[in-house]
Order: sequence, then C-alpha cells, then structure tokens
Amino acid sequence: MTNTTYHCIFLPFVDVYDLGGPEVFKRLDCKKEGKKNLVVIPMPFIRGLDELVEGHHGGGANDVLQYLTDFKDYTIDTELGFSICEASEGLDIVLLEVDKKAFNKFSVIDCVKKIVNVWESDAVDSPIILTNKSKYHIKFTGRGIKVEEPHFLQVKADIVHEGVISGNPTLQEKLHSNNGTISLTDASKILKRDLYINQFIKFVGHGTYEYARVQADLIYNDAKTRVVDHKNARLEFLKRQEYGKQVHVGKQTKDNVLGISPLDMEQYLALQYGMFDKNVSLFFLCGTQGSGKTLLSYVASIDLVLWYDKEEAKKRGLDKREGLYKKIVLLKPTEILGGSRRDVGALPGNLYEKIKPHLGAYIDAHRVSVLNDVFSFEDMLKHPKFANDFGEKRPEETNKRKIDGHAYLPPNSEVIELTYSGFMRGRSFSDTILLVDEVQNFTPYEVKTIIARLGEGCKVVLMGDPLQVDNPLCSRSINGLTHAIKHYLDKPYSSLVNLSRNYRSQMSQDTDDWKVYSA
Amino acid sequence: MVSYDTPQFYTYINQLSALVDNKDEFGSIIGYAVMASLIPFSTQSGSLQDIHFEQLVAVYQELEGAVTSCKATDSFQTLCELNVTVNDFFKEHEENDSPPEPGSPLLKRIMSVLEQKRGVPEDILRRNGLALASAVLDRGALERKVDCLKRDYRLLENIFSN
Repeated sequence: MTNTTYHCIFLPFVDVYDLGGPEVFKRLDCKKEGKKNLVVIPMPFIRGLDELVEGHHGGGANDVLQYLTDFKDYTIDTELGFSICEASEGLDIVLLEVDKKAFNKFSVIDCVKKIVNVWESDAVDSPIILTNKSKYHIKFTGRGIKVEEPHFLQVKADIVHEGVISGNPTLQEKLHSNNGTISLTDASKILKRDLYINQFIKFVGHGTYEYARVQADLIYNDAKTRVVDHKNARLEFLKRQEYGKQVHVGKQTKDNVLGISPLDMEQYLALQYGMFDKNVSLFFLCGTQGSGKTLLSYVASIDLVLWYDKEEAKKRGLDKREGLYKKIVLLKPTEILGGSRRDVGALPGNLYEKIKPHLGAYIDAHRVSVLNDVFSFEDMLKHPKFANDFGEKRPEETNKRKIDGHAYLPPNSEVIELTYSGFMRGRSFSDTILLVDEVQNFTPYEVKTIIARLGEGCKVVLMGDPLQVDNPLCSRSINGLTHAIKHYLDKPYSSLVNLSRNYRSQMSQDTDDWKVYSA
Repeated sequence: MVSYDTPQFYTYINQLSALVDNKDEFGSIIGYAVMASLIPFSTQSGSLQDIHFEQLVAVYQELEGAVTSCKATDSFQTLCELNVTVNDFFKEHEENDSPPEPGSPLLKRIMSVLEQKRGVPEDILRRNGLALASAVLDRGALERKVDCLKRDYRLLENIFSN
C-alpha cells in the first residue's frame, strides 16, 4: 500500500483516450484543494493505443502516447510493478505493469483488484472504469465495478438546435417596439442566456414565423485575414422582403441558385447567411435525411466558384471575373474511406472510380440543377489544362460553354477536387470551399485535423445529423459534428442552421420510426 | 402484431409526425401540449402512482387534441393555440410574486427545472418535445397497458423534469 490517499481513482479504457486525447487527463484532474485523483493505465492499454495509432484511428491515441512520453520523471516501483508520475497538482498517472506471461490474457478484474490493494481512495467505489462502449458497461457493472461514460467528452446531440432557437413574446414585443432591433446585451437578458453572432431567433408571429438574427460589425486585422473583434452586436428582425426567400448575391436578387430555390425559411437562412455570407467561413449545415443539405451546399458552392463575364461579375460585387473561391474540395467519410477501416484500396479503378459510389448525393444534386443542362458531373472534376486522377483534360469545347449565358467553368483549375480523410494530413488549402458531408461519422479528432488544414480565404461547410451515426467509433453524443459545433459556435465567423423538414416522400419520412426486426 | 388501441405516446406522436412536416414545429407542439395538459390539472387521488397516471392521461388527451386540430386546421394553427395557453401561464407565473401552486406535481417540477435552466422556456420545451418524440419513435409501440403507463410516465418525467 502506498502513502497517498487519492480522492478518486479512474481506469479509462482505450476508446476514451482515442476520442478525447490528453484532454482526458485535464478533465480528470481533481479540482478540490489538497486532493488528488489517480489515473491508472495498464500496460496492455498502451499497446492498444499503439495499435490504434498504426490503424490511423481517431488520433487521440497518438496524442496520449506523446503526452505520456513527454513526462520524464516517472518514479518506478519494481516491487509492486508500476511507474508513477505527477501530471499536475490534482492528478497522478500510473503505468501499471502486467506480468509478461499474463500480457495476452490481461484481465481488467485482476487489474481492479491490484489497484484496490495498492492505492487507497476516498471514494468507496473506486476505481471507476470510464468507457463509451455499452458492452463493457454491461460486463463490468455485473461484476460490481462502477462503470461510467466519459461525460466530460459528451456533447448533447440537441446542440444542432442552437443555430435557430425559439424566442419568447417579451423579446418579440421589445423588438417590435424598437424598430426591429435591440442590443445583444438586452436580448440576452430577456432570453436569460448567451447569444452568438449569426444565431437566429424564431418567433411565432401572426399567421407565420418571424425571424431575427444576431449580428455585429466585425473588425478584421490589417491584412483582412482574421476577425480580431466586433462591435455594435445586436439582434435584428429579418427584413420583410426576406420572407420571399430570394437570395441576395452582391447587388443581385435571385429566385434560385443554379435552378434550386429555397423551399422554406431555414433553407433560405442556410443559403443567404451560411453559404453566401462572406463573413461566415465555417458553416454547420445540419438536418434530417432529405432536408436538402447536400443539394443546397452543392449548388451554392458551384455558384461561388464559377467565373462570370464582366457585367455579371460587377453585379455580384466581384473585383475580377473569377468566383470568390478557386475550387471546391469534397470530403465524405464512408465505411471504406479514410484509415485502415476505410481503405479505398479495396475498390477497383482510379480514385474517382473508387469514390464515385459514395458521391451519389452530389451527382443527384448536379442532375437536378441547371448545371446538368450544360455540364456533366465528371466535367466538374476535370482539370482544364492537364489530365488528372479523374480523367482526361477538360475539352476546349466544354470550357467555352456558359451557364445562363454568363457563367463558365474556372479556366485554371478543376471545379471540384475529390479527396478522402486518409489524404488529409499534410494537405493545406487556400481560397477553397471544403464541403464535408456526414460529419457525425468523423471522430472529433478527425474533424480537428480537417479544419486545421485550412489556409486563408477558405470556407468550410460541415454537414450532418448527429442522429444518423454509422461509425462504431462515434455516438450521438461523441462525434466530430457536435464537438466542432460546441467548439466553434461562439466564434463570430461561424454559423449554424438545422434544416428541420424532410422533403423526400412520406415513405422516406416514415423510415424514421422503422424498426428493422430480425423476425 | 402490436395493437395500437392501448393509449400511449407512440400512437399520438406517430400520428403527429405524419401531420407536421417541420421538425421544430413538431417538437414545439409536443412540448407545449405537455405543458398545456398539466396547467389545468387537479386530482383527488391519494396514491402517488394514480396521480402519475392521471397526469399522463391528461397529456395523452392533449396530444390527441393536437392530432385532431392538425387534421382539422394545420400544424401552425395548432401550435398558435397551444402557444397562447402556455404563454399566458408563463406570463401569469412571471407577473405574480407568489403564483398559485400548480395542481400537477409534475408541472411543479417542470417549472422549477425551467427556472433553473439557461434560456427561455419556449426553446427548452421545443427541445424536450423533440427529445420525447425521438425516444418514443426509437422505442416503438408498447403492447401492455401497464408497460405503456409506467414507461411513458418515466420517459416524460426524465425528459421534462430533469
């Protein structure tokens, strides 16, 4: 038995480290004065972390190994078989040796017994196993060991509703009596909560809904690359004409974007204040299946990348003929894309042929837009000057074609570049729109890696629905989408819209409550 | 074969989901219906379980009313009607220094939670409504009457008063 009595002893499983990285240690640090927690890491878990690193999983495993390596002053107890170090005033970390013969037959129960024998704790139910996996909850709870979920890593799936929140009659009346605008401080006081720039408030009005938006004058650095501050933060009703759902691009008012019109106010907000807002460089577009996420993001992105003739460029408020962004990068996780679990090598053909089966949603979006009258989806991927992974050089004849008589494909680059998450590390992008679909199937670490790739002048659109998680490493409360929303929601350059209506058939909507029984 | 004759959340929420296209509106209608049903609630029962079930039946009736109203008019109209009842109650509660204690013990707990949580009750109720719908539709229909009452009440209590 050692001398220290710990406040609580934790035994986090490998899945927790992979999802949370070194943040796990920060969160398990005991905040009580004069008290300390202990995190126990049995050596087989280190091997588990190493296997995850080799398999290119979430990324947290790698950072945890690095974090543990950075400690140099481990105290080794050869008799009891452990190395211990002080991570902070409130936390010790112990690496627990396991008999070499027993290494492959490592037993968590034996490990727990050893912990109870060696270290004392104030909490009677220590050590507490931390894991996100239900099977371990069932297995070890049944054996009398306390098992908890890593609540500190969880973000409620309903964070997607933070983009458009419900207002109350008091605020609505106040806005009406104040010419449709009030200061953000006053609005926050009335709603008894913090509000974020680019957040929307929805009120039940007379015969329809009324929307207000939090806005501010952003202050940029001299190079105009970063938002350094903001002023005049206020809540303002949308203008009456906006309920007509016409999109403003520069000085133009458009009924549709490449043939696609917003069908409801949320779709309008997504286009106008997400996709077409220059100040929004990170846009979260959430929604149920069939709500139009892919379609809206696809047509708006193409619209922002196309080149325009002189007159049209002027109307759109562009200095040059080229679009606001150079190209679009499409990124989509699927069970065969990204990492060893998602290896593209298993499919035949070049990169396009491998990824094509997973681009159905974009190909469908292309087909319903006016783009399809002029270009094929494959034309979007071809480079105008040389052959690339996606086929031959774009033909001269294609380069000359125009959409609506005044827009044409960028003459210097492909419209869309396809990539997959396995190729993301080491890349960097500038003046690019990055469309990331099904973000709920990326781990928070993967999304962090993706966002870290972005250079100046980029816009990233993260799309998904936390209720449609297919990746076994993610859950409704731990996934890249909800974590990224939580981290970025209060940043003045981010915006979030949740599309709440399914526009597919009644049959499609009825799949919401379809229970697929085995018998 | 599951019988849908037994009153339960699944029956009403499933019907509502077919009538209300917009998920936000769907959540608000359910959240407001729960509140609107408990506002006028009073009971003479002595048993705690009886009081639980009576409150639940009141919620069922309000949801059934919401389904009928959506069929007769539209979902926005239904929401507006519920909105008036609920907002009047909140207004009275806010303006009165010592508001009358609700006849429903569940409503008392819901009000206490709404006062503690950040944000306006309208938004919290919408989210609670969506959470209830999601849990009920995920779980599916229940077969036994006692299961329906017990499990539906537990769900209602967990989502709205925690």
